[in-house]
Amino acid sequence: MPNPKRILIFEDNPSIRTLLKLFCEKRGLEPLVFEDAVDAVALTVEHDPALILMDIIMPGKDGVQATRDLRRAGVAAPIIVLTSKHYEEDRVRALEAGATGFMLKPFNPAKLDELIRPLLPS
Amino acid sequence: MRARFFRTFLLVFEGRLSLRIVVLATVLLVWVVALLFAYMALYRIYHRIRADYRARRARLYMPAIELVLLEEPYEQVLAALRPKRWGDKSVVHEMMVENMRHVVGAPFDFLGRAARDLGFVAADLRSLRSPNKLVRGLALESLGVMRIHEAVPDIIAILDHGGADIRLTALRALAAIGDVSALPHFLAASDRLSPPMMVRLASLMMEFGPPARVTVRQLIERHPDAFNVRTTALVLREITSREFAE
Repeated sequence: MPNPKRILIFEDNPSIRTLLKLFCEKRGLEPLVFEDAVDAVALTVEHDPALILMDIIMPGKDGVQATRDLRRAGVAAPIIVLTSKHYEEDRVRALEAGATGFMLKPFNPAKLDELIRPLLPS
Repeated sequence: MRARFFRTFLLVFEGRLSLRIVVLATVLLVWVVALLFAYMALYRIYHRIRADYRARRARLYMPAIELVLLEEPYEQVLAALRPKRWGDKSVVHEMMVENMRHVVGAPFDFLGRAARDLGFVAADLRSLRSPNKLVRGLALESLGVMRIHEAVPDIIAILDHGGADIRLTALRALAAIGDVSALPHFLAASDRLSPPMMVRLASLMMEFGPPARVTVRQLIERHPDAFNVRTTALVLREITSREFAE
């Protein structure tokens, strides 16, 4: 049973990482932030989150590959990919890899809230 | 040992003029290199200390960003962002611009309003007239991120002066602001840019969305040599995909 408040955030940009962490904390969630997705599978198994926020372009392993690895490992938690408006192909690749949805960057906190609320266990 | 060294040294100075010049030049060069290394070390230390100090000061203002994300009353946000110490003004300015880069909607509007009320927008507009290229570049970037529409005429004026790098920064700022009245100036500026910059220019113009389609096509027709078959196909595909997406 996943922790209903825990969210894993994989994002290499420190400013966005801080913003997302603050955004989650202020909504009573428990964010855990990581600057790359190299160990995404192990971290997800260890922390058993209710939701994953995944950047696409990251050093080491990109978000699409990490999403694919998570799905192959049997991770069922919803994965929201964070992508720039200019990379439409990445969005398609991420959805094909098993992502649940996507959020465009720069992100609108209100829209992100609308997107993740229904995905979190009540 | 010391006497032997000085004897050898004196022998050199009693020797031929060319030998003396070589020895003196070598000693001078060694000193110049040593001083250069010392300067570089001091420069690095200074910048590391400065960056640490600024990061520490910026952390003090992070609660303001929390308030912005929670959409707390504006006066509370403004009070939290107000510089508390001399020198903090640029720290707060930089932090606000960096955060505005990553958010849209209400937090962006909040920070934009605060940037005006704290005088950062006025300072950036003044900086556009600075003789220092770096200051102008930073102001252009800041005004672009904050999408300050009244800066557009001043930014367009910059397109007629300065080197290619500052012109490109100005074009980037115009694209970020997204004021379509600036689009014809992209075409005019293209005549003063090198052919390898044309694809970048086309990509910046596409930031304007649908109104830029005609101008991008005009750009390709105006500089056919700058767009080979592959890049033309890429640009046209991008325009088409955006048309479909809309």
